[in-house]
Amino acid sequence: MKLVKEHINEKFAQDSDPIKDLGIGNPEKSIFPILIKELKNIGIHAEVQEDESWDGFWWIIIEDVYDDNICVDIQYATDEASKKYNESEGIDSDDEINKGGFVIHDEKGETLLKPTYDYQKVVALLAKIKYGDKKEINFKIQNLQKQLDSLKSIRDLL
Amino acid sequence: MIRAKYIYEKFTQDGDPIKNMGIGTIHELQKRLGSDYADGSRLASLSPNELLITSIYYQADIKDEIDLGNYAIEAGADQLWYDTDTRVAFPEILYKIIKFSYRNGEKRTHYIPVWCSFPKGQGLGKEKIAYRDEFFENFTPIVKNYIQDLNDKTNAIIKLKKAIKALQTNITDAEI
Repeated sequence: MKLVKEHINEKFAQDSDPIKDLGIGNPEKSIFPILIKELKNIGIHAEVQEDESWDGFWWIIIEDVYDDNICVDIQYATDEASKKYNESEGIDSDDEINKGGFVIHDEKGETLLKPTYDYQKVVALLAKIKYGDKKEINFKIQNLQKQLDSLKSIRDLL
Repeated sequence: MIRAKYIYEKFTQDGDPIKNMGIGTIHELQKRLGSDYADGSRLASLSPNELLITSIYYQADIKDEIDLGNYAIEAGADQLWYDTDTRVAFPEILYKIIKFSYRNGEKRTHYIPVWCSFPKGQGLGKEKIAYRDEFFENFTPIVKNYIQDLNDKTNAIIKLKKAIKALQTNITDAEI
């Protein structure tokens, strides 16, 4: 605990804004890296691009979108940015855009995921789109495992 | 390596390696051996969709400096000819190719892009050494491919298992 306190004190002493320094409140430093890492773990390569039209909006770009068969728009907005957008566009305050977080739409513009700050829901949804449900994934694992066992058996003989 | 040693022993003990390499999947070749040809060659034939290597010839009774005879391997429409000027290496490689082609359900169609021709019964020479080197050179990508295949499948399984874990996060209807 002593070491932790020292570390925190050090941080506080060095920077006038420790919250900013720790990346809290800044999605580019906090939530986006985690999301990208989680997506990479399931074989989805994603990048973040800042929306040039609106401050406080970002796009999560899935690479190899056609290979992955993931045709979705993933957007992230802060509460403040959403509110500003809402006011400027005259959108009803109950509309989803009024809330911050991740929003996912399909290629037709239908909402697949309402605004949420829970990045795990984004990962879960993309995992389902890419690989199917648990049953389908288990089937794929079984098939791959059989092929892998077969390959390993050759290796053992060589 | 124990297998390779066994093949080597068989190879050196007996004059007809193909006939005597009746181990593992090579035994299947033996089962399908065709009739002996007048010049001493043997034919082991497998259907193209079963195996990469469609036929293996062994010319057993050629009395020249290669008294072990010559091998020729065909892979579908493509031909791989190889001269057995190295007693140890060739059976090992042959064994590996066949095992590889037999057991890996996904990789049966690729072939070794080697072409090597030589007149029957011609002795060893620089040209044949070059052919041998070419054989090894072309065989290496297959081994690499195999290792890559192992790694890819292992990684794919890891990703799928993580995807299952990700699906544990429920998305309620209200969130859609």
